[in-house]
Amino acid sequence: MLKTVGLNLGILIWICSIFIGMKILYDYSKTPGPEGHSSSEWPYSSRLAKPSARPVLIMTVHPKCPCSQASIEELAKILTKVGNRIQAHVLMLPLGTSPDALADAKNNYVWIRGSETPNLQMHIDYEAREAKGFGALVSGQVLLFSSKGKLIFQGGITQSRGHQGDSAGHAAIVQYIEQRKIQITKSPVFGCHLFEQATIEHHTNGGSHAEHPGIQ
Amino acid sequence: MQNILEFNKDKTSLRARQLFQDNSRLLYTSVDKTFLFLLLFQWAGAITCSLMISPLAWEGASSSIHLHVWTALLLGAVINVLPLILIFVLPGEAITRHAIAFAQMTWSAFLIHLSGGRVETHFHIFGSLAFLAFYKDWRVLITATAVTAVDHIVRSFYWPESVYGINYQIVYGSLSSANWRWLEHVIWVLFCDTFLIYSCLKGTNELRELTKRQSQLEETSRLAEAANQAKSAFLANMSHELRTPMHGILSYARFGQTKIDFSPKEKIKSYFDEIHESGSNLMNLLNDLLDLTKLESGKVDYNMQERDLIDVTEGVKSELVMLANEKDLTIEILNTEPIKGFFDQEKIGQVVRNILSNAIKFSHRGSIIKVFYNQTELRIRCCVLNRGVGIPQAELETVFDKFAQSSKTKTGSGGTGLGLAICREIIQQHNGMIWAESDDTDTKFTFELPRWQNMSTTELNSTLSKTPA
Repeated sequence: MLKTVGLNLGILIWICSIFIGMKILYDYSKTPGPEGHSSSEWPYSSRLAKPSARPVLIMTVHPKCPCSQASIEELAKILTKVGNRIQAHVLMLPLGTSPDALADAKNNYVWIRGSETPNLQMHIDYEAREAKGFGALVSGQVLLFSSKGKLIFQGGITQSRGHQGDSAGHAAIVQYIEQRKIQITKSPVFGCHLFEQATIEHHTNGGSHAEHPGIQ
Repeated sequence: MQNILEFNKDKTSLRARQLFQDNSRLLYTSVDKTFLFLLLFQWAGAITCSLMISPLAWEGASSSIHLHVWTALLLGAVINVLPLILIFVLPGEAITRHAIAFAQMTWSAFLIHLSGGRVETHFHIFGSLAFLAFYKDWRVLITATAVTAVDHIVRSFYWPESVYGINYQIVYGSLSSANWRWLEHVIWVLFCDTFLIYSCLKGTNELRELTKRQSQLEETSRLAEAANQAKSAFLANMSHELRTPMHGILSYARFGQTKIDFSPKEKIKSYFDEIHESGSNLMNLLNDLLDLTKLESGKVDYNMQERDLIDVTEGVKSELVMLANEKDLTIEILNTEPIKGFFDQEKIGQVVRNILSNAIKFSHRGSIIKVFYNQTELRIRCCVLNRGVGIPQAELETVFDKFAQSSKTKTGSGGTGLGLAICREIIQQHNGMIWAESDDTDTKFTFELPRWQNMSTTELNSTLSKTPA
């Protein structure tokens, strides 16, 4: 009798432990990064070609972020759907200015995948100047500007950390390109922080990046 | 042989059930061991996967170990701990395989998550179900499916986007299908279950059939072995019994040959008397052997007719009265009214003769041998009671075996040792029973016959209507 009770209790504890573990995992996966304060207009200081004839999409990527692999795949799917109706740029933020850091910035899955994707330009964003100009804080963050340079959408295009698949951001971007209307203008971004915690906190509290020169 | 197998049906069914349980247990234990390695392999795989895909979490240039690595290590250990303990402590038990099923499907969810929801990893679910089907226990698949279903249902309400669907209400303002996306996934799993459960049931039935045949084979083999041993014992006994009178015949013939010239006539005559007695014993033995062989092989044709058992008994009594008088014995038949039944008069007479002969042989001088009958509408019972040396309790069954004689009467009793064996065959072939009861002095032999044998209802009713109440 005692043995049965003990076994049943053990099983219950076991199941609860698994449940708690999976919940921690799921909670982490659906916890987005901090929301930044992006400008509603195309930043004048950006060295990227300003939108004119077609909308422009910007994605910022941390070179080591594992979650951004899903983001680049989703971006590739978007571009497959919309073709050249949009101009897309990926800003890769190197982890320093050393040759190794710069080499690392191009030696990762996101860069290689992005380089193979039509209608997508890959850029090294030295000292994160462009990212700071756009107000991006999280790897995988996407900003969509209209042909007139207005911010239409900002957020993520994955449903959770590192997970490919349908997402609200993906659907919103495609909807805008195809129908020129959009239901949502924001979505959570799931990725690593582009900057140290202090910088993140400064921006989430309404601070802004300093003016900066362009990119290479 | 077929009749014996039918008679032993309950025994073979029990044995078949035991074999089935033993074989099932072997299967369960074997599959448990396979899962031992699989669960450990998956744990290693999860750690490797997390280290390859998401080893570090970054904040700018700073990094820390990614939560996926920790969960692969720790949550993986938690998932495996109970099944692994049960595999060692309770191998082959139902709780073990259900715990394994739970853990295996949890691994599916975990690995899918670690791989970033890759489509390929979803096949782990179906592969796991196929592995679990090795148990041939469909209930295990129910546990596995329930785990997958609950995981999907909980996530579809707690985190709908994770079930490969977006929250359409947010995007398009229309009715959300994400909350029901789990149903599609579960239906796919149930679809797979249909075939696997069918396969499990089929496999189980095949195993049952195999064990049933194995048990029948074991029983047949056992019976064949027993028959072989009985045959060997019979041959050994028979050769001994044949040799004894033959030895007597040859010995006294040799005496006659060597001593005829100088031995007196009386001596020579005594030799011939011995030869005659040995020859008679040999003939009796051969006759009994032939009778028993014919009975056991079922080659006896019974002449079943309505007869009176009292008449048969009176006839046997008159044959044996001279023998009884030699020991001042009295044979009393206590019934006076007729005892009618359907039987072979000659064969039942033989039974009565053998029992009465034994009673005469083993009764105390001057005692009374009583024969009495009981009858009901359907059965007749005959009892022969005598006062003599008695039969030990342990031998009350074995006295009916071939060449078996009571230990109290073995020496100097004469006889072939086949009389009661013949009685048993005759009575059993009449669908009756025969048995012995005894204490230290009184011995009672009883045989019981059905009154009517294999008659149609019409014949039975006709006979009953003629029989006086």
